[in-house]
Amino acid sequence: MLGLVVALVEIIKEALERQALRRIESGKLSADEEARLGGALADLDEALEHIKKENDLEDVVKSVNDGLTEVADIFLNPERWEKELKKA
Amino acid sequence: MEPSRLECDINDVLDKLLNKGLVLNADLIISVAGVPLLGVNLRAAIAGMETMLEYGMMEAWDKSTREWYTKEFAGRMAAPLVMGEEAIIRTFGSIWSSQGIISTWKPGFLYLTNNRLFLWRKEPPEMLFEVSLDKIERLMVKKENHFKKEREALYLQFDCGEVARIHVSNVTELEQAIKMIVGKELENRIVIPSERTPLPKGEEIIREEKLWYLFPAQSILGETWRPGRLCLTNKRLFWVYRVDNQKMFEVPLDKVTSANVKAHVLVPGIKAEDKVLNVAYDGGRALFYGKVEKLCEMESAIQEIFLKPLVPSIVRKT
Amino acid sequence: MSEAELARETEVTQGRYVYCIISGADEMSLGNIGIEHAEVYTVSHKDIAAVVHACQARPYESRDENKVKEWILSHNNVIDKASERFGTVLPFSFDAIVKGDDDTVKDRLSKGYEKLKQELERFRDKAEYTVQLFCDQNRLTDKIVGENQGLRELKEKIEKMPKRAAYLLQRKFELQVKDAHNVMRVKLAGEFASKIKEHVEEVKVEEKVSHVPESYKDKKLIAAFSCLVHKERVKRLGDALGGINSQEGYAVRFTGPWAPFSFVKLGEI
Repeated sequence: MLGLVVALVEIIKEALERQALRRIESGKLSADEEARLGGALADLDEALEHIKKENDLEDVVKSVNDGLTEVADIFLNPERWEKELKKA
Repeated sequence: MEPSRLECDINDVLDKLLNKGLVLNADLIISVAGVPLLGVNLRAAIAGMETMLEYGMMEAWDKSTREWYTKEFAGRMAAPLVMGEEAIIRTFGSIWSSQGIISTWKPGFLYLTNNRLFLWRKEPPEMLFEVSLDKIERLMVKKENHFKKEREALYLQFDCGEVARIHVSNVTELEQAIKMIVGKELENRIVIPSERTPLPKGEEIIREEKLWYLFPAQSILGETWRPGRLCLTNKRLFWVYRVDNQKMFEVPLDKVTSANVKAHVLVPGIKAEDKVLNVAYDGGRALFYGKVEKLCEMESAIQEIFLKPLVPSIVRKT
Repeated sequence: MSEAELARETEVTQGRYVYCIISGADEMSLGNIGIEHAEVYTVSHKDIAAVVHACQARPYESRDENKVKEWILSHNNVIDKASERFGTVLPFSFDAIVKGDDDTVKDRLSKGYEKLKQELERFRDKAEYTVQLFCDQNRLTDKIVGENQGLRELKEKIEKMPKRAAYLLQRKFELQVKDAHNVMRVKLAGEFASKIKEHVEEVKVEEKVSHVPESYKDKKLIAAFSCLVHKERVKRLGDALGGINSQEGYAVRFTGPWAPFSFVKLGEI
C-alpha cells in the first residue's frame, strides 16, 4: 500500500517538476523563487528516497511507475505504431 | 537468426490461443451468455458461472466471483415475484431432491421474500421449490459432508411434516433472515420422518411427549436419565431414545396399573421437590421426567384410557 | 418424475470439440492426443476437413488454473500435429464446441465450404511468426545524449554545481531524456517495421506481450509484431533480424512457426 502511495507521489512530483521547469523557462520567476522551488522539490525527492529505502520499496515503486508509464504511453500515442508502419 | 519455440511457455501459447483464431457461430456452440471464455486472461477463461449452475456443479464460490456474477446478471430474466413482494435475499442455492430412485441437488436461485421462500431456475424457467413462509415450523442448520468437503445445510420443516434440505454459500445469513422474517419461535430440531418406524395397522398414537426416562442400571453403569419421547398408543406405552431412535421401554396397556405425577425422593439426578411421572406396571415401574405440564398431560392421557379415575397413590393389587 | 423428465435428466448431449480446419479428404484418427487424452480424428467434406474430438456438449471449464493450462497446451499440440501432417491449418480458438455429431460438423463444413477453401488457399505454405524488438535503456540514453548538443551541455553544467542547487536542472535533464526515449522508441519501432516488411506477407501489431523471457528482462520492449511469412522467405527474415540482433544494445526475439491465429479471419462460421 505504501508502495502505491509513494509511486503516486512520485508521479505528482514529476508533474510539479515539469510545471516548475516551464515556469523557469518562461522567465516569470525571480532567482530567489527559482532557488526555493528547486530546494523544495529536492527535499521532497530526498524524503521519498529515504522512505523507499527504509521500507524496502524501491522495486515495488519502480514497477508501479513503469506500469503507469506504459499506460500513459498508450494513451498518448494511440496510433503510434500504425503510423510508423504505414510510413515504412 | 532462426525462429524457435523452445523458449516459449504457456503465456506465449495463450497470446496465440485466446482472443485469436476462429470462433463458432453462437447457435452452434453451448453458449454461456455473457461469459468470456475467450478471455484475455486465464481467470476469465475459467469457470463460466451460468454453466456451473446449469450443470449442477455447486462448489463454494469465493466472494469476488459471486460479486462478478451478481453484477453480470443483475436484472436479467426476472424471477416470478408477485406484486408487492420484495426479495430480501437472492442467492444461488440448491435443494436436495429425492424422488423415487433419483436423488440429486437441484440448483437455482433461492429467493427469500416477505412472503415466500422459493428456488427458481432460469433456463429453462421452472419453479423448483416454493413454500409460504408461514408454513415453516422448524429450522435447523447441520454440518454435512459434501464430496469430501464439509459444508452446512439448512433444514426446514413445514406444518405438513415435509422437510426441505437447502444449501447456499452463506447458510448463516439465510438462517438468520428466515428467523427474522418468520418472527415466531422455530424449533431447532427437525423430526426426520424416515427416522420413525411406522406403527402397525390398527395402532395409533394418542399422545406423545418429549420426556426423559430413567434407564435401569446396567452392569457397572448406574441408573441414567436419557432423553427421548414417550408415546402412548391405543395398545401400549413405549419410550424411544432420541439418540438412536431405539425403543427402550415398552409395556402393553393392559399391564399398566397406574400413572402418577408426584415428587419422588431418592431418585438420582432430580431435586427433591421436582416431580416425575411414575408409571407402575406388572413387573415394575418406570420413571419419566420433564416439564411439569408435559408430565401431567401424559398422566391424564394414560388415566383417560383406563376410563376409570384412578385415585392417586392407590396401587391396584393383583 | 415422469418418463420423459427422467430421460431428459439423464440424456447427455453430444458435441464435437473443433481444433482446426485442414486441407484433406481422408477421414482418419490422429490418436489420443486431444484434451484429456481424447481421440482426435478428422471429419471431411469434399477436400477439406475439421479436426475434432467427440465430447459432451458443454465447454471445458475449470477453476484449476493448471488444468486449464494443460488443456490449452493440448489444444495447441493438436494444431501443431495437424499442421505437420496436413500443411497450414485454420486454427480455432480454445473451447469451440459444436453441438451435435459428425454430421453436424460435415454440414457446417459444407455450408462454409467456399470461404474455408479460400482461407486455406490464402495460408498455403505460410506460417505465423512472432517478432519482438528489445533495447537496452542505457544505450538508448547514450544515443539520445550523443545526438543532442543541448543535453550534452546541460549535463556538463550540472556536474559543476552542488547537488541540491542542481536538483531541478538534473530533473530537467532526466525528464528530457525520458521524453526523448518515448519519441525514440516510436521511431525505432517504425525503422524495425520497415526492415521486416519486405520479408512478410502481412503484419499485425501486438500491443501487449504477456511473456518476456529472463534474458530480455533488463531491456525495454520497443515493438512486437505477429507476422505471416511464406516458408521460403523465413530465412531472409531471419537474416534481417539477425542483423539487428547483433547490434549492441538490441535484442530480437523470433518465435514460430505458429498456425495463423492472428490472421485467420472468417468472422464467425
